[in-house]
Amino acid sequence: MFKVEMISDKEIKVSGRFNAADVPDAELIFEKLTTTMIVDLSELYYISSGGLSVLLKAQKLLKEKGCELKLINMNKMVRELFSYVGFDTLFTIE
Amino acid sequence: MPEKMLVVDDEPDLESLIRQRFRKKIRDGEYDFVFAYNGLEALAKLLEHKDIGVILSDINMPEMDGLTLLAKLNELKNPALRTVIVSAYGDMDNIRTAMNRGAYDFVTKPVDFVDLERTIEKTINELELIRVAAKEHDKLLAIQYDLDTARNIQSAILPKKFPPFPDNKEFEIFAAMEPAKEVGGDLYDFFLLDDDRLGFVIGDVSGKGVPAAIFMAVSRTLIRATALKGIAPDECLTYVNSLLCQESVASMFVTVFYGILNFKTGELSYANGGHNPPYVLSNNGELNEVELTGGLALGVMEAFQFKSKTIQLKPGDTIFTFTDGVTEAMDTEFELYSEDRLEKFLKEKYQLGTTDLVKESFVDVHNYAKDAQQSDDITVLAVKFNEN
Repeated sequence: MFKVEMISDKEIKVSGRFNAADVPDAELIFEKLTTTMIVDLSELYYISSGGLSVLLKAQKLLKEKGCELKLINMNKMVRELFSYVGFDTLFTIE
Repeated sequence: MPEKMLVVDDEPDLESLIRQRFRKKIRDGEYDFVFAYNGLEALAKLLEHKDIGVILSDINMPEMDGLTLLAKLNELKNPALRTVIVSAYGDMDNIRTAMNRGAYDFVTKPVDFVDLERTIEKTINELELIRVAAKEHDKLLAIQYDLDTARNIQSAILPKKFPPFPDNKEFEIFAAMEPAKEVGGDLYDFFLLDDDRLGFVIGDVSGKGVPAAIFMAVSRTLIRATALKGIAPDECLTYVNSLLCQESVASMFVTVFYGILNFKTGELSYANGGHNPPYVLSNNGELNEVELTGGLALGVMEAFQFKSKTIQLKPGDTIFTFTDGVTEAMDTEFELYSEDRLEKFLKEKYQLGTTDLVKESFVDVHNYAKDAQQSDDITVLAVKFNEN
């Protein structure tokens, strides 16, 4: 139901439903990032506030190093969520 | 860690026989033996060595025999103890009594040490399973305690007395919150700012459990203390946000909608910090979504400047605020309740007062979700600007 995988050393794919229970698994990957990463969300159907926290934390860490997360291929619902939580100003979204 | 075992037998040679036959296992630190010569001494040894798991016991002994010992061991109710009876061949009646009193297995004398070792190993394996289960049980108790703590924090903080301002006929207000099993940190609050104005807040903390409950309590207190100064909603959120950013642990954030209703004029000024926008429901069934103010959730970016907007409520208008526990409630197929269903509900129930409107919205969500487990806190707060 939820999967985070490193597609290459520059790209991660997050798929399924990102719930609070999935946060520890996601952290294992996101907290180790050290460079600008593309995050493919084309198969992410839902993200909870816990999931948003993980992305936020990773973005803050990367920004300190002058890098960032580039979020691509969001579906309509996720894009709207990012909009009204205001996260669309914090991430590069393509 | 050696498996500590108690041998209970009045036969004086048994101790040296065991030490000799199991000398390798003893030397290698796999087995460790404690000896008692009757049932009474056995009980004393058990008190002294709390880590004994396996007991090898004879039946016929002075002071307290093996069958009585078994009865006493049952009273201890220690699930991590197993007794193997070592008895005379042919003593089947006593062996049966021993088995019925809960002995795990038996071997007969003269002891075949190969058979005894196999029996001991089997008993140790059984004990391992029990020990793992006991640890899991303790972990579950700890989690349950945490869940209860989180729920208690949340419950203690939210105002529950309705109607809260019975002397004010100019408006009606009702709110309710149902926590998910793992508390999701929803909050609501309301307070009179002065003779003309009511402040009301709804919010949702990211994350779950005790950390979310604590962050929720901190957020609620900061918002209330700041709001009671009577400042505009945008200034309030800007100030609270800067404080929260300094407190933020593990990138927690809270979405907030803060509105100030002037209940003499119907003017509503508000600021939205990343929260899902509320609806204004008119007494002719008209439904409108409240415009966003471009705000970010609180606790994310220090020095973020929030903005307010102002709208005019007509007499009979209700502002219906809620958290995403409503729209994101799922049924057993993982389909969301969604904004569409909520809008349909509101358009059908526009004639209700705030108390019934809020209560029925919960019913509608529960009817939709049916047996699916509630994954997030559900919170609704509604304020109605009354007609004169």
